[in-house]
Amino acid sequence: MGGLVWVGFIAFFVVALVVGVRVLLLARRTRELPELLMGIGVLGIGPVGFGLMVFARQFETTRPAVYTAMLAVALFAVSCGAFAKFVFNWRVYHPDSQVARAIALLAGIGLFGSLVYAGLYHGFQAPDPLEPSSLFRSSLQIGCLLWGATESFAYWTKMRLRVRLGLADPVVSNRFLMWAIGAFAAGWGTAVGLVGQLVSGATTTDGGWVMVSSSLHGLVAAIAIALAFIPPAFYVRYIRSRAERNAAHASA
Amino acid sequence: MADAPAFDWMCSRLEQDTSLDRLEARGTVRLALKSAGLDARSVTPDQLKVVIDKVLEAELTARGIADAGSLCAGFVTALASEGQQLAMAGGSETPDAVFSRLGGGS
Repeated sequence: MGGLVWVGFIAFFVVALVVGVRVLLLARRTRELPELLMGIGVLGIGPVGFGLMVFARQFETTRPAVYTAMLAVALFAVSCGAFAKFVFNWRVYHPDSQVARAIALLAGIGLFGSLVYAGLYHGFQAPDPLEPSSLFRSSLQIGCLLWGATESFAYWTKMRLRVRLGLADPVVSNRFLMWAIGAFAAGWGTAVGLVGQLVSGATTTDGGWVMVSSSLHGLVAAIAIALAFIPPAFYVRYIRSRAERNAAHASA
Repeated sequence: MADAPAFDWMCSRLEQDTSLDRLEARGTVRLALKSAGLDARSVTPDQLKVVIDKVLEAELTARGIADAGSLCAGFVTALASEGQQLAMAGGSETPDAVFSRLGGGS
């Protein structure tokens, strides 16, 4: 059981690492902002941020200075990742909205403000979920993921209609749905984990139901993000053939 | 954000060629776009052509417009000649264009 619980974490780590690096390489080629933001978001919150936080615990008692340095880098990565996702949601879904712009900018101020607070007042030591800067940062992290999931789901409902008329690629349409599921699983999993920490005091890697919940949400997020951005050939064939069947059924 | 030139063009043509007034024409086109999953602010001439072909005729018929089929055929022909001028110049990139690229990988 103990080993199995890590499957979700490992799957999420590997998928987020692969997708994040691929998207950043894409950004280097296209020089476009959305892929840069998506790459920073996926890598920052996932493998670099969360991964480093988990890895750092090995050094908590043996090498406290290394532990603190790793936590500082991890918190910086999470803040950058969450800010990148806020900006992604603004720039991609509502580029002309002053409200979305204000939300993204305020979130950025909040994220980096809480990072400075954690450095000045706690020296980046083990984040207590009840500590204000930690709670605030986690809430913003959850917020950027759930906002992104909602936008992506709403856009998918439009894309479905376009696919029926041959106005959109069914694989791209499915990418919106998978990203919505992946971002929701990551955001909701983080929220459940946070509440679990507040109630039980156990962290996401201390074992118990909080860890099982976080790992399961991580597994769902990993599968959905993989299907969105690195779908296997059989899955792409399935999506295309299903769309063709639906179109044939509609025109019959 | 302003409505797309293709949307404004379609509304003007409906006003000119049917008994619909400005408000009715714009509402009809908005409904047709909505049922196709499109938006008045970002619709392109190519997308509009499909909407005219597959959605608008039924919307016009439902509003009692006579001979909606040949009317729509006329819109498609006119759009083919004016489409290039109506193409959005420098508009914001749509989310589907972004997500299409994001699947490209390295």
